[in-house]
Amino acid sequence: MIQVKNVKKSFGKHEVIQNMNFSIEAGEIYGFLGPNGAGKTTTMNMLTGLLPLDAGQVYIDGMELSQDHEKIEKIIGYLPEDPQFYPYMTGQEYLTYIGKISRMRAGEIQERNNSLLHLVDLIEAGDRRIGGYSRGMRQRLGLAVAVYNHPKILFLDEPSSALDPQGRRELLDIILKLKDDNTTVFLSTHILSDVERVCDRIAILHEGIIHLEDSIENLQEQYLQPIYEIQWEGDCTPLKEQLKKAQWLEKIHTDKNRMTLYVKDRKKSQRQIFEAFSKIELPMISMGLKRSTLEDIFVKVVNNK
Amino acid sequence: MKNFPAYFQKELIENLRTYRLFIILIAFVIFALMEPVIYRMLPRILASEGLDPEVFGMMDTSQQGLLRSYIGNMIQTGILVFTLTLSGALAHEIQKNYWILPRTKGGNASALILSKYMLYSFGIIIVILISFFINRFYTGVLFESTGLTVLWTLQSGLIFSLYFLFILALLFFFVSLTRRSIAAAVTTMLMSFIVMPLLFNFQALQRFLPYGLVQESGLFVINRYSLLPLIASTTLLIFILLWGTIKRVKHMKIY
Ligand SMILES: Nc1ncnc2c1ncn2[C@@H]1O[C@H](COP(=O)(O)OP(=O)(O)OP(=O)(O)O)[C@@H](O)[C@H]1O
Ligand SMILES: [Mg+2]
Repeated sequence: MIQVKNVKKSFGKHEVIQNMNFSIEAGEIYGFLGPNGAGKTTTMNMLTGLLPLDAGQVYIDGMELSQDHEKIEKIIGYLPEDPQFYPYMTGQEYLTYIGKISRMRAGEIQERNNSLLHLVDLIEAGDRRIGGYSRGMRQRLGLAVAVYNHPKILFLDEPSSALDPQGRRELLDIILKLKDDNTTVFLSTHILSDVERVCDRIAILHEGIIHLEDSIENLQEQYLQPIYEIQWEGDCTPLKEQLKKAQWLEKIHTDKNRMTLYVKDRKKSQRQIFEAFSKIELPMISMGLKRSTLEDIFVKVVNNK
Repeated sequence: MKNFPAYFQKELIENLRTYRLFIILIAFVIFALMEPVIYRMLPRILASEGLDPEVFGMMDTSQQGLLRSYIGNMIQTGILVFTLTLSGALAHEIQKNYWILPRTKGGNASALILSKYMLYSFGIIIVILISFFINRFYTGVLFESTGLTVLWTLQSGLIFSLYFLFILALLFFFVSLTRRSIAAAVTTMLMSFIVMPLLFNFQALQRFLPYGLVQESGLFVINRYSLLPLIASTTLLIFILLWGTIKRVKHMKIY
């Protein structure tokens, strides 16, 4: 659905995107992650045809971006990072304007306006001027605009950055619903728990290079390493030496009667772990298994490379 | 251009709510009213300053003369108000990123620019005609009527309006070059206050330079020989400027 080949982009001497390659299948939800200034917005602007590429090709639904730009515009929807609207219009009026530009019929427009305002929870604010909307409300309206013409591909640039917890959950539901309709979603975000909930695949962009690209399942198997947090009845520092030699151990950390164990492969070594624990005299108060999160992977990728 | 009506309707809403044309109307009307009043009081002002009121006798206080002096006034103040008020009309679309969302929905640069141009053109023609007739009426009341006919006023207003349509096209063009409202307004004023009058000194240009319309509008005679080339060249220039503006905005990218 989206193919990006050897794309490069610089602003003056600053090389923001260095040779980017990836492809996204139809109906996939693709999470595009990266720290501030990584080039996520720049990539979005290029893929939606708002910013020219310095080099490379982009194919959207089989069409080349620069050649078939007008056709491509009809099948994509874009929610920019900080969407801007005419402040003197009301939400309703703005959606009507968008509907007319997308060549919809008047009756159809009214219907679509109402269902979208309902979807993004702006029914009451729909008749107020956008100039008085909060940032979160503008982001909601922006989402309504982005999906207005039932796009096949949706680009969302940090769509939940200004939303309240309720709004974030609703946004995820909307994205999952779009997936059911086989919409392809290109999603950039900082909120990693959201990514884990909705994305099929993710890419981590750092300093203009994609450092990691994989499906969420693969990542969870490969990178998500289990962590045991154990509390003992007394000081557990002496245990450190005892456990250090174990083969299944990646890393151990102790702090008085608290212990954190980073384990290599939980499934294989589970038995050995519990055998080792049974040999310890000190009574154990509690033990919890914490999965390391996407956040840890993110930090790891961004710091290592 | 199929979605031109959508754009035009949007411009209409914009105008009703940002009061741009209304501000211009108020400015033009105030000056149209003030000018005869000031002329009426001038002899007394001169006398109180100890100057010879005879000087006043040399001034042209016919309706024609007063309208001519109003035209001379509006070529400064009028253009100042006009460019400053309308500089944001196109510039804010780009400067404030309003154009991005409609554009990702297949929005169309020519419809955007032409709808704006048409609305403001129509608006300024109405504003100029209203203020010319107010001026004519008021000078007739304060001084004696000297037979400035409705037809002459109308003709003069239309010729003067054409000059403003040119200024508007110039303003839009500079917006497409600079992307900034203030920069475009300043360049437009520079052109109309300094460059145009300077160029007008060249005999060869006088017949074709839009600035000639200002003079024509104060003549109250129709001289086909001098007027038609001016109308033709100004119209041509307007088309070229609008075409350039559309071309630039169409290929404009965000930055
Ligand atoms: N118009 C521009 N001119 C110069 N540099 C730019 C321009 N736009 C972006 N950049 C630079 O490109 C880099 C990437 O910016 P971009 O906005 O794509 O980052 P991002 O990943 O979206 O960051 P964030 O998470 O903060 O939104 C930054 O270093 C930024 O300074
Ligand atoms: Mg960004």
